[in-house]
Amino acid sequence: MIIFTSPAVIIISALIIILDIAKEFTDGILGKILAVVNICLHISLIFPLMLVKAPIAEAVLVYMCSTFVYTASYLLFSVVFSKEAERGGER
Amino acid sequence: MTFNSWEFLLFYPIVLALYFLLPKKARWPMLLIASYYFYMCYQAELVFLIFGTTLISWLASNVIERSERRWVKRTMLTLTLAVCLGVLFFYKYFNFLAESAVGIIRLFGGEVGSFELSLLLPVGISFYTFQTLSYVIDVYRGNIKTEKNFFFYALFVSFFPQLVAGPIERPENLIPQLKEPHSWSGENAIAGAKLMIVGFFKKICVADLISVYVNSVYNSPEGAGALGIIIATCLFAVQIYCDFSGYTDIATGCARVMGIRLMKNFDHPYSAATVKEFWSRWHISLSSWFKDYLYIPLGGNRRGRARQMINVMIVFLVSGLWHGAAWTFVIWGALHGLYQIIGTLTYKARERGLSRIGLTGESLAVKTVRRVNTFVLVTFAWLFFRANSTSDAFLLLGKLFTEWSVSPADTLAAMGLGTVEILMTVFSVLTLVMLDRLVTYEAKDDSSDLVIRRGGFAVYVWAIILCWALLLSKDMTSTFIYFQF
Repeated sequence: MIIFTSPAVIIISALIIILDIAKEFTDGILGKILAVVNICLHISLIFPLMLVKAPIAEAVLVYMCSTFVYTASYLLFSVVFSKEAERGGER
Repeated sequence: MTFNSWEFLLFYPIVLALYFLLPKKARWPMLLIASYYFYMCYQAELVFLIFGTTLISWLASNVIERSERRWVKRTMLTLTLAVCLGVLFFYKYFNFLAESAVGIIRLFGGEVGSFELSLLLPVGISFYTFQTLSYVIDVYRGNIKTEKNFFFYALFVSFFPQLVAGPIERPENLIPQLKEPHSWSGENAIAGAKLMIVGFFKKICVADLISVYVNSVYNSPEGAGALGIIIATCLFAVQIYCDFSGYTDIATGCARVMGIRLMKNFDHPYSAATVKEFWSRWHISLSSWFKDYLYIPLGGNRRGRARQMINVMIVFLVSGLWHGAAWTFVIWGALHGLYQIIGTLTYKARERGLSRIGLTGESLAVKTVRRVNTFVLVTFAWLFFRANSTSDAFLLLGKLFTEWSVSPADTLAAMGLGTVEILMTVFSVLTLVMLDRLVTYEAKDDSSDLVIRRGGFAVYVWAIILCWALLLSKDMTSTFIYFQF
């Protein structure tokens, strides 16, 4: 697939994954800044895909993967792990 | 004007703005006009039907309430049922009955020409007819008082978010809310927006994307192999859930922003451990309607086991017919009736069998097996629901047992499922499952809010827009499945 040949797509995707995890462990102003930057990166992912003239189906697939990672990171770190921590605290 | 159209994206914000800007006394007339306009965008020529049904049911309910003679009440109720159901039967079932009658005559060697009429199926007729009937029956039973203002009652019948495909609202839930002057509430706006985002995600990013693969099998059954039929039917189970519950989420969200809470229509139906439980989680407004206005009046389970089984079968046959004027829907309903009958009759034996091997119905292994079993039974029935005709349905059914020669790779290629398509389907479904968990979790815990407050809605809205662009590029956009009912 053409998407794997674009350095811009790979770099942005890597940044997205890092920020998806980092934002869940950062509070305060920095946390909010990371969250906003993270969302902007997700949304802007489509543009390098357009630059390399990726087929629309592949572009949508990449974006859907990034949406999956975004949702999974929140569900995992803010919901599942926080519930585990609460249960650990209760013991 | 469907929810996933440009016209609705313009219509709804205007209605919302007017709702909160107008004086409170002017809101419900505006909603009434907007609701009739919404309906007329579908079929302006048939608006007289919904108006006529509304007028007849309102007049009848007033006569029923005012009269002290039981025979008058009963006569008015019977007449109302006859007229409203008669209209429904004529527009929805006349051609089906005509075609069936011709088929039977020809089967016995008779010669008869077709006498089908060129009839337009009124959009939402099944939904608003049942909604008006529940109102009249509840007045007859003395459960509610009549609404004195005809136009206010007309708003209850035609309220646009739930007019075309439900939920089938009960008067005691909706009418007081329509009368209450709601003020703008951030909490309602956020909750409504979340529901709409999830609804659009279900419809555009999952249901519509999946539909092309389902259609590749069901629209060309002659070329289908067994594996393709199984994949397409399982995908249809996901498609119809996302399509219908997506519509309901959007409808519920639209109303919620205005401060009006429509009833819950779906509650994770595929997590049901029995078919009976499935029907307490799927299209809840319809199944509760049938329970209250058909099953219980028939006697429910109060007249012995045999009568209970007959009542269950009647309800599901009627439910099947309600969904569509075709024998495939009748078969689908009959299958669900059969599942419930067998489930009820074998319940004690199954529980005894489990206890003999040291298990209970609460153990995880048993629950898992039951959930998988229920999913298989429900999905098998969807084959008939989706098939374009009974001959197609039985052709596909036969092929399930005979056509195993096509390889998995060829099957997927024939359905248009390449690597990109498979991955897109997997990621969109997984994202939806997680998003649904998140929204449910956030409904209980206000301390965290990904979807709206932390800006996460932008990610999902962008996903919806991109998927919509993909669907438009391939001419794959479609209306909601339940609009045809």
